[in-house]
Amino acid sequence: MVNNKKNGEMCVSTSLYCIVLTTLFFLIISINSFSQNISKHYTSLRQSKGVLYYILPQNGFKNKDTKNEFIYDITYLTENDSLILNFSYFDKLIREIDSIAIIGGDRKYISLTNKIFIDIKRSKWHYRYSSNFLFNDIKTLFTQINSPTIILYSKQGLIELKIKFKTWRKQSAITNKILTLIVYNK
Amino acid sequence: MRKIKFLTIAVVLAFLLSSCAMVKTPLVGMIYTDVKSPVAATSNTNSSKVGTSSATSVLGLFASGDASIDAAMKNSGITKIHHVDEHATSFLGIFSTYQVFVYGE
Repeated sequence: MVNNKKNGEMCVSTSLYCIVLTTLFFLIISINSFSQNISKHYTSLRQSKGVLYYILPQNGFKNKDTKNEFIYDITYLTENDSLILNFSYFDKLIREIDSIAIIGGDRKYISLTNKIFIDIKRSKWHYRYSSNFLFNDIKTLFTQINSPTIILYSKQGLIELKIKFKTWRKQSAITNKILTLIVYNK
Repeated sequence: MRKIKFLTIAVVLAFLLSSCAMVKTPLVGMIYTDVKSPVAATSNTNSSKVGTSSATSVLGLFASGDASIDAAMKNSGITKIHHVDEHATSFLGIFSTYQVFVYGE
C-alpha cells in the first residue's frame, strides 16, 4: 500500500518534470525562431573614430546550376560613407574574380574586388574577396521585397547567384533592422 | 514493466541533462547557453576590420570547424589585433557552437 503510494508520487513528479522540461524546450525554440532577436546577428565596438559594426556571415545565395555557395558578411565604421562586404565563394573551377554586382529591383550596384585569399575546402576552391559599397546603397537594397541577384565577374565568365524568396525575406528583415539601428545611432 | 518504464525515463532525462556537447564558456546553462566573453586584448588602438571563425558540435558526438584566431584573422585580412572575443551557444547540449571574433586592422 505504502509502496504503491510512493510509486504513484514518483510517477507524478517524473511526469511533472517531463512537462516542465518540454514546456521550457518549446519556449526557448519559439523565442529563438519567431522573435527577431537581432543582437545575435551583429556586434558593435565603440571607438574614438566612431562605432565599428559587424553583421555576421549570412548564406542563402547559390548558383542555380552548380549549387555553388556564396557567403557574405558586412563591416561598417560609422565615420565612413562606404562599408566593406567580404564574401566567400566556393567553386570546383579556377576563377579570377575581379568585380561583384548586386542587382536589386531596377538598380545595379557594382564594386571592384580585392583578393583576401584562395584556399581549398574539401573538393572545392574557397575564394575569399573583399568589396566596397556605399552604406546608403546597401541600406536601400535591404529594404526591397524582391530577392536580388548577385553577379561575380571573372576572367572565366560571369557567375549568377540567386537566393530563395523566403530566405531573403527573413535575411533582409534582420539586416534592414540592424542598418536602421546604425542610422539611428549615428 | 513499471521498472523498465522508469529506467527508460531516467536514462532519457540523464541523457538530456548531462550537457553532452559542452562548449567553452565562463558560464554554463544546462538548458540554454548564449554567452559572449573576452579572450584577449592588446595595446593596439582602433580597429577597422572584424573577422570570425567558428566550430560546431552535435550531441557531443560530432564536432568540426576551425575556431582559431588565425582563421578569423585570415577571413578578414587582419594583421594587427585589437582584441578577441568569444561567443558560445548551446541548446540542451544537443547542438553547440563556438565563435571567435577578432577585431583589428
